[in-house]
Amino acid sequence: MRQKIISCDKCTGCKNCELACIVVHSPNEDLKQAYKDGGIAAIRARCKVELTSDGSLFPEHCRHCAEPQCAQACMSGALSKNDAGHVVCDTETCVGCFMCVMSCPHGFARPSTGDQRIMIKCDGCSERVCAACVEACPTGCLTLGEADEQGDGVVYIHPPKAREAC
Amino acid sequence: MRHLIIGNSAAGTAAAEAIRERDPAARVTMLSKDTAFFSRCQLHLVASGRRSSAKTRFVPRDWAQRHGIEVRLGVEVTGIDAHQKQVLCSNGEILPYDRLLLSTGASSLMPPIAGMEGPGVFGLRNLEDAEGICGQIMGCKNVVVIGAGLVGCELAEALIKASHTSVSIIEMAPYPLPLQLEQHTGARMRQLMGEHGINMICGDSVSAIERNAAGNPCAVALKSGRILSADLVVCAAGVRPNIDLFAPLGDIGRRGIPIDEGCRTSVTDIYAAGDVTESCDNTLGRVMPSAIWPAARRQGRVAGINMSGGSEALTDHTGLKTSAVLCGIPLVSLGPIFDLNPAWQKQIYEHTDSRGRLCTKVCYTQSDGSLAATVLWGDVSLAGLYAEAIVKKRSVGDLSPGIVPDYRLQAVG
Repeated sequence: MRQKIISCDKCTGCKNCELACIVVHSPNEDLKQAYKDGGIAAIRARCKVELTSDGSLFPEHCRHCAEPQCAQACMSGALSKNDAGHVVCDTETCVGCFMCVMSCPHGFARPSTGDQRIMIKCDGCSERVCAACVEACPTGCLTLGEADEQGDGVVYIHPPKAREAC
Repeated sequence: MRHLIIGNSAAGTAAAEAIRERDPAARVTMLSKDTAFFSRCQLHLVASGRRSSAKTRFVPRDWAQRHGIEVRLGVEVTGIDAHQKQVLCSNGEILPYDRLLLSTGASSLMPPIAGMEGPGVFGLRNLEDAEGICGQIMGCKNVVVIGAGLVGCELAEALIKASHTSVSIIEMAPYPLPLQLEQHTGARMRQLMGEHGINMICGDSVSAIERNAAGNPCAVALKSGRILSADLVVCAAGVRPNIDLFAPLGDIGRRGIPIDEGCRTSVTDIYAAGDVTESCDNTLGRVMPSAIWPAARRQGRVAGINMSGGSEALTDHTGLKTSAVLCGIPLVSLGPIFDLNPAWQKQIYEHTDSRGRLCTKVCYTQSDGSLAATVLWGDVSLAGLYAEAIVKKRSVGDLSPGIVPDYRLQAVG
């Protein structure tokens, strides 16, 4: 399994990752068309660069946890881990109960902002050779590699103090 | 090693998966009196006809084959012999076990009210209940739901949404969802449900269900003296754990089978998980049932790991987490909202989001600054972080309103 390796000290807060995520999750990967159609508010980036209270940048990405609590909380069977090791949501099955939202300790299962009442999360770009956020990162903060076979799908290097731990 | 699992819902399936993950050679048999896999949390959708029973299946079609589980549905276990280590089934079969898991769940609590027994009065706990309601609802004019807990409120909303009849809810507390909401959000939810066409009667209770000559319900009499027409009654006034199999064998607590950190019961090689159990809730530090899907899955997993020779403990366990969408409003309730400590500091923050929706956040903090309980109304995106702060007894820290740039909040009380 290839893991996303996040070297936090290389993040400059350019947000190219967020933009790339919005692009690949636009219908037909066409952001311009989505904007023209007025559907842009419904497209939410699945990753986020946070500014923590001590002033450091924290590129927040779904961990694709070894034991995903979102999937454990899912009462419809919509959330599961795919063969690539990514925790993905089957939007046809999701009923939007948001138990995953209250169960993800990192805050990365979120309600969709679109019309359909479903959850959204990072799908790891399982169908792409390289995740869009990684492809778009100009500083080398986001890379793909194999760090720890047993662990989560994402590895953090030099993370700042997490925003939930205070 | 032969594992026997009684029950095929959240806890039972999680345990079976955990056993198979650790022990490819184990023999795992799952018995259930239910005839299908279904998600109990979706029964209100089945009752209102919005979702077919088949679509509430929460495991893949090939789940049993994929995990190598022998699944026997429609088989009721009638007795357990803990000395011989075997169970007796309703069809006369006797099945031996090395490790046994009781994930038998709970049943609707039907309070002893006159007229409760008989046709036209349903609980909402099993597929049969939901299908029964769905089958009768078409000819009904007036539906009365007893209890404005999560089950009652979700059902009432689903019925109204499906353009069914008039729906009334009777609730003893002064507002709906008394276990999940505090006064401020509770009063608002009461009003909102009214605006959505639900006849919400609070501060009252049912004294009798009156039946006509044919034996069907015709009215519900309330303690206050009011009489409501009713041709279908749903009782959503809580649950009782299905402990009958275990009661002759070992310790029974006040509200379920007590289990330790490893989901073991007082009897060797018998484990229990899910709604049938009571265990220590880490946010309250008290032994109580944890009646939510995520907690049942977690307990099932812990039981499964320990049954197959592993060592896993229920850590940071809590059932005091609720998520729901009612009348279009996403809600998350975290911590003991029904049992607030007067010493906790209460803060209410409100803002309107970019789509014009009112978002409210009610936070209770302890004197050391750690978060004790929270109600999120409207915007629940960060609910997981609040839940983590509560169970880990941390302060909200970076989440404190105002610091997170997403929130432009104003204190209102």
